[in-house]
Amino acid sequence: MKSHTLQLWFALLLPIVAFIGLVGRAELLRASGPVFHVAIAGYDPRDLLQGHYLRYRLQWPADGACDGATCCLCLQVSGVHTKVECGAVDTACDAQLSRQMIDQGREFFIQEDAGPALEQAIRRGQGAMALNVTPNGQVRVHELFIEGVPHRRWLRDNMQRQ
Amino acid sequence: MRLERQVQRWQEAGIIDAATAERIIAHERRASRPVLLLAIGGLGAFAIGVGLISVIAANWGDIPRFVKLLAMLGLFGANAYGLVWARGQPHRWVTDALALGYFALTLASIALVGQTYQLEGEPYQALLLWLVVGSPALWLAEGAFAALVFLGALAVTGVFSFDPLVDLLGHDHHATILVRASLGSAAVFGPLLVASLPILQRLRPAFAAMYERLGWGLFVLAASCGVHVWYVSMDTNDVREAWVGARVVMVFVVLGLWRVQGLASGAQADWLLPARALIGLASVVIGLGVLVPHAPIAMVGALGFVMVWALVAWCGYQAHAMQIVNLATAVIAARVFVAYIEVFGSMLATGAGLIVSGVLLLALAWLWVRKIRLQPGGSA
Repeated sequence: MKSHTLQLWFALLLPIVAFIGLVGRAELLRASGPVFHVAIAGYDPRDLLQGHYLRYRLQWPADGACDGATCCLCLQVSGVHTKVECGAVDTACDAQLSRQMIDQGREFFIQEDAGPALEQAIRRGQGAMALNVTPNGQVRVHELFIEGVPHRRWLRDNMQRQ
Repeated sequence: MRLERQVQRWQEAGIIDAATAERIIAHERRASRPVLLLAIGGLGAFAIGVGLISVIAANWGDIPRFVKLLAMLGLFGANAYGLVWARGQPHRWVTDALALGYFALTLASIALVGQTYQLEGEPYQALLLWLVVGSPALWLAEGAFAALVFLGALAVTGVFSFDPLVDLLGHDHHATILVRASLGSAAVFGPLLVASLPILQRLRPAFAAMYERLGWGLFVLAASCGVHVWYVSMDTNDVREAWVGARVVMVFVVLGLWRVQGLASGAQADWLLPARALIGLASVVIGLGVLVPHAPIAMVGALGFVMVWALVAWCGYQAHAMQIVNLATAVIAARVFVAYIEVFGSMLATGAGLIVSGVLLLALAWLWVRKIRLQPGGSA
């Protein structure tokens, strides 16, 4: 009977503990560095939407000190991001992102009816992603910004204007 | 109304008297359920549930993430409370339904974290985590459906783990063959091997029974398909590639031959020999077809198929499962007819094929009627 009770509580608590652990880890990584706003573009310019997801990639700034496979994105809290050589120590950078992290296709969950408006805004180059970089160089996405405001607020304002 | 008419006919035929007729009708009325009412009620509850989910989904983006996460904890709490409460209840299906709900909720919670924090991991990672942390809840259920759900979850995880496993083993052609052979063998032999575990038979007999039935079904299906390898040619390159995965398959075949004695219904050792013969001979025929270079020899494939089902019939006969014998007889008859179509060609070949397949079908029918159907308990 006692072993049955132990088995029951183990079965019930394990998913809850795992859930709390996942949330805790995600919150810790989310708070593990300053938040940067990085411009985005559609991953496939012909088709930005896939179901409830917006498919995008981070954009390189137009100018910079390097070009090629060894180029990294130097992120600054000020919002002025530049291209730098990956190996070079640049004290101006608050974080660096590798070429692979920049060019990688990503997905952002959006509301069902928000797709067309957001698609147009990103095509116009008004989209930016708020993110932070974890100590192991991974990107943690916080929010999609359109014209400098969170996308949900932008959608509300947009609807009111219409 | 149909029951009343039927009872009246029995009464008129003098099978039952008036008092019995009344008792039968009264009993059936008590036992009958208001099906239409239940269906309409169920439909209403289903509509409300889907409607609530849709309303929440429509406003999903506007719900703060901590509200979503706390709501998930609330759902976990409610479901867990239900499972604790259901433990003392006589209806096992309540526990089974709640355990399945908890298992599904575990996957939903992992997906919720992924969506809320815009995580970009691989699906197999989420599925593996789901299996590890959710399976103990599924173990609380005792019905066969929970066993089936677990197997389904395992199969989905296996499908999503294919590419990562290939990457892990070197991301080349050999790695792909090795992963295919491993996952395929695990799918074919896994349920039988798990069903043979004494701990499963003791603690969850319904799970063991379900895995045993499913395992035999999968093995016979795989063997029936596998023997058709003799329909294609195998050159030395094909054989060299086949050897890459053959070792893994052989391990599973040996495990199958060994563990078949531990299967629950193997308590009657009568069918142990035919069961081992089925696993062994089918594996040999398929193994030779894959590991020996050859030109297409359709006859061996067709005979291999008939051999597999003849062994299935033998197993069924020894286990006194006449429905299996009947099924196997029907499959062999159908295969003999298909073999005739395969040799369809000139008038001579067609005529000879018709005669041979007709004789074989008649022999099969004779064997079935004389040796099987007329056995005690061998109802067709």
